[in-house]
Amino acid sequence: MSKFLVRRIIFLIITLFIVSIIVFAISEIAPGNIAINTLGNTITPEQEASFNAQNGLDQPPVERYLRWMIGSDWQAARLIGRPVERVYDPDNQRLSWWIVGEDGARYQNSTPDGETMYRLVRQPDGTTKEEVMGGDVWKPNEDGLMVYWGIDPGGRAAMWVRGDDLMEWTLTKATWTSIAGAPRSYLPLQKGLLRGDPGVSFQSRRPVAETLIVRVKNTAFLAGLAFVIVMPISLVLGLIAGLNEGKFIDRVLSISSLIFTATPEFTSGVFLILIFSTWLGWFPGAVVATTDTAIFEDPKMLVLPVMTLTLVELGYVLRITRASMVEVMRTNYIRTAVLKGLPRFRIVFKHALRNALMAPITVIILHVNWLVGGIVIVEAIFGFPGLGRYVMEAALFKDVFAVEAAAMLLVLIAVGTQMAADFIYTFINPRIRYA
Amino acid sequence: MAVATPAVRPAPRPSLWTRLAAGLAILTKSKVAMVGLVLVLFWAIVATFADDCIINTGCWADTAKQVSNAFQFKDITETEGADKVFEANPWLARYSPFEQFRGDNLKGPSAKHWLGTDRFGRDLWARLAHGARIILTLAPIGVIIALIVGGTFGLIAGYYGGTVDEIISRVLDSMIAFPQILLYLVIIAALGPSAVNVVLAITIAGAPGIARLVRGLTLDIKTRDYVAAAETRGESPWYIMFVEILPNARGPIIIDAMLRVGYAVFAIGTLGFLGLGLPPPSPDWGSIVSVGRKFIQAGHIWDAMWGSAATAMLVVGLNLMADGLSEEMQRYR
Repeated sequence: MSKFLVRRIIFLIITLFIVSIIVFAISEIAPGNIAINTLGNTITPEQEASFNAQNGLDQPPVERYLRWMIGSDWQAARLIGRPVERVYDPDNQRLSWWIVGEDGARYQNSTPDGETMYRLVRQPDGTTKEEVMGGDVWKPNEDGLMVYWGIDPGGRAAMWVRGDDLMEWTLTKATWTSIAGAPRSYLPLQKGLLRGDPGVSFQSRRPVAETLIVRVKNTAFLAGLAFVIVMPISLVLGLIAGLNEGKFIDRVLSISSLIFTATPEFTSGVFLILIFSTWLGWFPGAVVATTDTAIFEDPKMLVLPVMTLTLVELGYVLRITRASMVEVMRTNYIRTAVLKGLPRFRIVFKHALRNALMAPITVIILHVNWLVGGIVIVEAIFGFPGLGRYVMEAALFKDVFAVEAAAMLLVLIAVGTQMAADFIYTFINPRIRYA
Repeated sequence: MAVATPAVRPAPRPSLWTRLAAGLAILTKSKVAMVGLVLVLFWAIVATFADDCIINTGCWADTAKQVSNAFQFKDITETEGADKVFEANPWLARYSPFEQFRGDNLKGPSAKHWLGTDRFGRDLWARLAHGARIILTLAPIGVIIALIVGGTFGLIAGYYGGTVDEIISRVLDSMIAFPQILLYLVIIAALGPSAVNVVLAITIAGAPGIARLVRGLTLDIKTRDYVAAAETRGESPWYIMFVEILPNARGPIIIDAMLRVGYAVFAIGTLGFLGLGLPPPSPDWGSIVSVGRKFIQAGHIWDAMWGSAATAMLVVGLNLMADGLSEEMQRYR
């Protein structure tokens, strides 16, 4: 058993590793320009180049992949010669990076002319105080240039070269500004996915992890609700269909479940909106979430999304349960029980049920993968603020860190549930051997 | 001593047509499959005879131009006025899908416009009919390419085994671990919405599943005597894979492919709905629904309703067909 466990976990890690490469390759190397997506298509080539340099997008893919996975703060700390620290500001939902000085001060750097280096010391109230640093901060590097590695106010490790007169373009809230005294090269700071930091969204400039947690909570709530409603209904209906194999009620249930499962979520969603929102006017046709907790406060908004998910999922589980029940009812031990003259409800509840539910339970767990697909569409139809819509919007915007993080999370859920299904199956069916 | 020739010669192999007819006979035995067939045939006929394209040479040239444009990753709207592309005379569609009737926008069903009109005053029935053509072309093409790619990888993995198998299987498992919708989203978002990219997305999403199926079948068929015989004859691995193994694995592959066409239609509709399908003004069913959805509140339900109904009808039809067929085939086994 433990050998089986270890083997499966190793496979899980390998799978996730390959997935991370695929996700990275598709979202970062594919055509489509992150700079244009983020800044609009009116940017000049200089602005684009400056943006790419500031975000490390001009570096080779392998370097970017490694930074995404294991981060770059340790690298920056080595270059700067001081430890660096990440500070999260919950009010603005922004991240910032600071150098930890010898005197315990947290500071960033800037220079107006490439000669005088300032350090911007972080004050307890969040503002910064400018202090001039001595001329001895410039150290020669292997190319013989006098350089200084520090952290710029944008939160990137940066290399200034003494005497440089470079410009850097940044887009502030109002307009483009060009700032003198720019560093020669940048190293974007990130802790790395493996250390729990999936990066900062290009779209909102907020850390992906913070947004993701809220979205995951919402989606888990929606999916959980759908799950709790779907499972009893579909299991019971499936058992009824299976016990009445070939009869009218079985045919009605089987064919309608096939139709519901085959129908794409967006069409069933539209039909439900037409019936229950436009025609009957019972429930709102969209989820309007003004605050993070809005969806928990107005349960009426959730009826139609949950109903759509239920319709799609219902049929699938129903069919599996039916098939499993039919198979069990044909076995010899059930025949024996019938021949013994046991009452029908006893045969069904004491003998058949346990074995008939074995297949559906594992299939249901494996089905999480499909549920994810349904959730993306349902969230898109109803405007539900969940993980699915987050992935969709991030993918459309080419917000690479957001897409990558959400994709990895979804794959982890899928692979993890697959593994869980394997274990549960070996648990409830002792005949299974560990391969 | 002469060996007596056997008196009874083996029956000649039935012709392709007899075998095809036998296959169709299975289909007609299942009521469910027949219902599915009727639903699918309805849209197939509407798509084929939407206009006189099949006898109109000017239309062929246009189609060829569109296809070549698509492969050069050009947008139709950039290279040519998209409403000029169809110079064919409408048959079943009654109007061109791009013709805008002034003053008739957002109207309900009437004698003039059977299903109503959209916000630009375009006839919804014409758009659905031409949308059927798009969806019924792209879905099978995507599945066929996925079959070629996935089948090849599956054969290689299953036949060679060992490290090759291990590597291919690992990559396949990783791709299957992706929720399909995510794969579509990431691919289309990265490459941009166009017909070629939709086909590409279907191929990439479908190939791993096919490869896994073919690999399993290959592992089984590989142990048969006729494969050993071919190996002894010194046939090349490619000959054995494609001539000895593949034809003997066709049954499950065909059923699987039919189901996959259903998934592909499902996927194309969904992509269109998410705004990742064919760029407007293409009469893409999914985008008809997603645009029409915005007018539901305003009381114009027709775009969303007909678009959804058409998609549901086709997908359900394909699924009923595949389901009925596999049920009948199981009965014969």
